[in-house]
Amino acid sequence: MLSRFRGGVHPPYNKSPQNERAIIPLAPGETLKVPLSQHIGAPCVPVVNVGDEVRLGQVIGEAPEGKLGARVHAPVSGKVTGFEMIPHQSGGFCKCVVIANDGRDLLDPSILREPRDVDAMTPDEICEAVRRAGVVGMGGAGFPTAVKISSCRGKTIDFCIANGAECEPYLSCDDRVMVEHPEKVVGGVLLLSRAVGARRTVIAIEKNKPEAIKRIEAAAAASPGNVTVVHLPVKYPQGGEKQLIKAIMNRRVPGGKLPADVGAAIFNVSSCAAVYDACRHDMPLVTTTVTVAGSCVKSPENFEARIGTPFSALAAACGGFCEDPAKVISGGPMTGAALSTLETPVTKTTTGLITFTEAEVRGEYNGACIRCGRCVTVCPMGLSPLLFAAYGEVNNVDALRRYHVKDCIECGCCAYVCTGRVPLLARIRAGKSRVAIAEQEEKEKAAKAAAKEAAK
Amino acid sequence: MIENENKVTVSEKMLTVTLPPHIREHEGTARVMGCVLLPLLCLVALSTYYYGARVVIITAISVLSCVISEWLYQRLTMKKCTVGDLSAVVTGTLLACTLPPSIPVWMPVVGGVFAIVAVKQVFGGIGRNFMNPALAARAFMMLSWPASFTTWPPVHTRLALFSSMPDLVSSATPLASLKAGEQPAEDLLQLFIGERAGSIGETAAVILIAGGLLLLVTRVITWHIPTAYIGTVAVIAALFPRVSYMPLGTYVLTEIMSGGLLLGAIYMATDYSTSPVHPVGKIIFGVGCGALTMFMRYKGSGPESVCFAIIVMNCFTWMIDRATAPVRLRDGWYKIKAKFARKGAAR
Repeated sequence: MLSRFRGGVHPPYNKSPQNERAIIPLAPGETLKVPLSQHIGAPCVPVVNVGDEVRLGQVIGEAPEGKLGARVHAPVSGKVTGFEMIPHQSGGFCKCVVIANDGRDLLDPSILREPRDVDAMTPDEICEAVRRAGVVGMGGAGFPTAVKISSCRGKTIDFCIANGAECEPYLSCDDRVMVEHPEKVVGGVLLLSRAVGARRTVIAIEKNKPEAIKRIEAAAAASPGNVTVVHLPVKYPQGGEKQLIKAIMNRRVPGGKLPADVGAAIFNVSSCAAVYDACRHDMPLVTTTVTVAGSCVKSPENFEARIGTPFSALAAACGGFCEDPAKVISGGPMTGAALSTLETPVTKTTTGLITFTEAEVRGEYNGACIRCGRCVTVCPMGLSPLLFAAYGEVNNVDALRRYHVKDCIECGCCAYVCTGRVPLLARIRAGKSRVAIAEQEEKEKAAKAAAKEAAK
Repeated sequence: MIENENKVTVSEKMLTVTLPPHIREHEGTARVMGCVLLPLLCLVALSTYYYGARVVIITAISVLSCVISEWLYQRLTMKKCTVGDLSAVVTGTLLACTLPPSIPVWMPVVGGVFAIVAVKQVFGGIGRNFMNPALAARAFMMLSWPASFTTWPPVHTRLALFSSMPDLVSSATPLASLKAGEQPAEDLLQLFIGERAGSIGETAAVILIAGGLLLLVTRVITWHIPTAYIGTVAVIAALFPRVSYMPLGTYVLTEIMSGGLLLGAIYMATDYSTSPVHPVGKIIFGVGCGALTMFMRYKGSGPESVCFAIIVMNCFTWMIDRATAPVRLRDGWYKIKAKFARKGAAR
């Protein structure tokens, strides 16, 4: 049944011992700084003022009308003490709501004490509950889940897939969520499947997580819905949307199209669990599971952290560092972002805090491309990364487009294997933004020309 | 203000910020070059056994002139010094492998300087040259001093260490015999272990093939170019045998193990900078090299042709690369369909 995608790499996974450590709920600190931008799209507009008392789960940032976005809620109860610009994990700065925690965790009245009967919910109700709870894709990209559900409407969705591949090295947060809350994952994916009108529901897990597979299969058997558990081969980037679609459905997503166009709706397993909570209790997304690992960490752990918790609190909670880290990454080592400071807060899309020592960082330098062609061999999208690097350097936008730079999924396989150690992914990102700028200019030109034509 | 100052004092050590990925496979250019160097040094060692220490001297001079000219060029043009990546050492050793053991010892200096300066560095250094430096240098030397490239001392001749040898008796290489329409004096086993007249590193098929397997296993090269190259030569040889009275199998194997075919197909044609990067392109490149080699062997004025066949195909690399750049399948079909639709509309 399974088909393989071409290319890919096998980095050392380093998932032990954190994949056997139970998720520890992390007590929130005295002040939390909640970023207003935790998703793809426009930043939220704050709906609280300095001095306001907020309760856990109260809306503090509303998605701007008519724009892509997801709500942000208060992760603790307490008092809003101000707004601050602080470094964001994606680089750059972001406006944050600073909340002084009163330590009482008073729940917002909108959160249901008694679970709602989720089986009676209509697709519209599910979508609305997900939107209210501000659920986003928790695999890292952070696409608002409610928008994804509504974009699937009107299209024939054959497969609703819960993505539990977790192909990034070091990370084990999705693995632990599947082991500890299998009923939430299964319940959530069934709700999502109903919301998008999918014919089949699949939970896809890489074979290197036998415990998660066992628990999810048991939960799937116990649930009333029809859920298939797929055992994926272990290969990076198996968890990429397009690679997952190729593996499970043997379909390809054409360039510039969405998974929904080929009949697939894909949700991360942690998002599924969040959707389940959102539908059952109207519980908004205010916590996320974060793996803290890497060679500088004394004892690797998984934490359930409130959003807005600084990374330094996570590091302190697992006993601090045994060696000063030279590089700290939010997310996995293949696609995560390097942080400039540990005061960066955890957001809804945070999956991990990975640390590297001086020795591990040292090997990086900018070499020359020797045209060995290994990037072409491993590219899971069948592209030629070396051409992007060469044409990007001379700003040849036409060539970048001709070789489909926009189809790059930024998995980092090319830079991982590069013999000459060329920073390929950095060059590709620069090339992509150049193409985007050129396209924007063309659009404006065309609009101007059309306006001129109309004036005549 | 005081609060701000406090914050500064608790700030951690500087963290490195780079774009992902943050892990890399532990490979570098030097390791790749080392893998290529290992079989080449075995070839030089075997050749030393057949011809004496002169071979070592020629190789050393060739390598040194390559390395020194690279270092000097980069020093003079104030570029980053890349001698450490071993690519100049590989170029020097490859150049030595293509030279006759009886060549005057000063000649590799000219070849090495030409290879590094005129072929490699002028075009931008590693990865940017369009022609294989070692082969281009060999072609240059061959055209400048043709006499030195027609004298082939027989194996097991003790060659003088430094002096030139005007009274050296040249023996017929297997290719020259084939050209004359005769069966070579050597049997297949002798060809296999390199007991025949020829260039320093081209004769020992056993080392060439074993080294090729090593490069395949270590993923330094892919199978495409050597297989396409040698396969094309084998097919053409089987279709149009030159020596009618030889058994066909023997003839084909002789054709493959003569001249510099194996050295060229496994070590020269697979040079990263000067061969296509896409798998389909590699096969086209290999087939082109094979066809040109056989054409020149059959119709050319001299017996050997691998060197020219490869450098001619080197010049087509950019074209092949452009034509074979992968197109995503679905888009490809859409585009072809759209093209036909447009043509139909034009009619």
